[in-house]
Amino acid sequence: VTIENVVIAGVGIHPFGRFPDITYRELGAHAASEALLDAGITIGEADMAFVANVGSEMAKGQNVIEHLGRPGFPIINVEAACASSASALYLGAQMIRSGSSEVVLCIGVEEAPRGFIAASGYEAWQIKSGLGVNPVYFALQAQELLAETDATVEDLADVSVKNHTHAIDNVNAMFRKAVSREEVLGGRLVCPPLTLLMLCAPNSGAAAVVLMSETVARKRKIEQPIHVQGISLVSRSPDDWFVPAPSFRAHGRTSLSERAASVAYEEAGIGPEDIDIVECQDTDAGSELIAYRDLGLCARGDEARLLRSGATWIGGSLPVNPSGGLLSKGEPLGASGLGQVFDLVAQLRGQAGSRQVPDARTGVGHVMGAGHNASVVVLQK
Amino acid sequence: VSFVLADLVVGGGEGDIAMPPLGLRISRCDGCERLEFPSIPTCPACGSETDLDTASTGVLGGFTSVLHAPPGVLVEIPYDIGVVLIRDKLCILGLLVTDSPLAIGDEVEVTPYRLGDGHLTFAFRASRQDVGP
Repeated sequence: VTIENVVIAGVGIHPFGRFPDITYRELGAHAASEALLDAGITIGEADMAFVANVGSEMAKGQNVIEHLGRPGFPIINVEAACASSASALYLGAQMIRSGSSEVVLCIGVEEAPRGFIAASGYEAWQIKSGLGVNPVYFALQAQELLAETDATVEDLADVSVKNHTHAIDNVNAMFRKAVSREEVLGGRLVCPPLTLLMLCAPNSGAAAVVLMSETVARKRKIEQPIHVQGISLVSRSPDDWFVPAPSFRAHGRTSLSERAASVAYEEAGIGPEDIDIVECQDTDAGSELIAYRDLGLCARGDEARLLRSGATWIGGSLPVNPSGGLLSKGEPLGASGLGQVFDLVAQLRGQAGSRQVPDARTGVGHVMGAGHNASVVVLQK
Repeated sequence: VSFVLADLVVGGGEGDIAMPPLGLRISRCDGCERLEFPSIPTCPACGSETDLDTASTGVLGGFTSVLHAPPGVLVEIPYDIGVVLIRDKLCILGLLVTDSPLAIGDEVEVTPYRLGDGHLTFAFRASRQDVGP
């Protein structure tokens, strides 16, 4: 059995932000049109589509693709909270690897209101009892990081400072203004130690990719194909702690993101030392620091030191969230993973403009979220 | 006494001295001894059957505050949420009710808390056991 290699032949995006006058169908169709154009194909030349979304109506993919034509191919809707569009990418890659499809369109789209994310999977008793509050989980996790390592609240603020600085030239980000450490620390307290600027905001947006088998991409003379060298999708284990769990193990806790990274790295035949750029799930500033160790970028305990060294800034040796991350882009739940892929592809193609990381060859995308799902993808040019 | 979810707790009849003090209904795995809350009949780690057990006290491991609550919450803001360590094995999230500030490492005990709709939920408060003579 030959396993087909998977490449990204085209990418598209609708900026992340708040667009009360644009429907989610239009957002998704916009990103998909861009991706098809980028790949030089029509919708009818794809074999199928996976469409990721969390909060919209039934048959969402069918309704998004109606704006592009009526290709008649299978359209499958995918939902896995923050890992929704990464799950669509995972499925698309598996279809091509297996030989079932040659060209797959993956779309991620979300239209979300301002404020708290509803229906994160809590039981009714947790919500009524005041325990179903997402930022509480991130705050407790950040406090644990501050207690167990030398990380400080200033380090948390600096993650936000870094990512907001990175986003200044990103036309697809919602927040494009630099912020100072003092502004982050002095902002509205949400759940101590986290202030408003240390948390990402749910918003609206869309991203899409066209996947092809390497054979078809060669035949079609796709310029600058980006290889999907490894991709993982993992869910909760007995000893993980996650939103919305009411309890967790005191000792011997395991990390979902660590497992996702190890599966993807092994598949790609790489180690953390081979990575040039990372887009990670910075739901809050603490989550980015924890991702440093989970993704193997540093040893446990060295998270803040890696940040302070400047390595994870653009211009450093291992830029993390050169797009500005979710802290600056906002997080359209169904689109965030493919949004990372959009940015990684731009970097690997050398098209990231003023945010370009020189000689980026290997990029890693990482998402994780409610219900406990995580995905890591390794992309190479 | 009507709890927001009957299976969360055991004991604790208000004014009923025949009932044991309020505790959380946890389960303990027969095989690997993992504790779970809320209780579950089968261990998610090793698949063994579990026994029901009760946790009435613990140690405060960390806490944060909720200053803005999402819709559906029946607790008045601002309020505190703690992580309570049970027998050095399990961490449970719960409301913290206290008149004086609590510190990490303090002993806490389970206490009922009346929600906005009249139902009860559980909370943790400073343990009374170390009150002197």
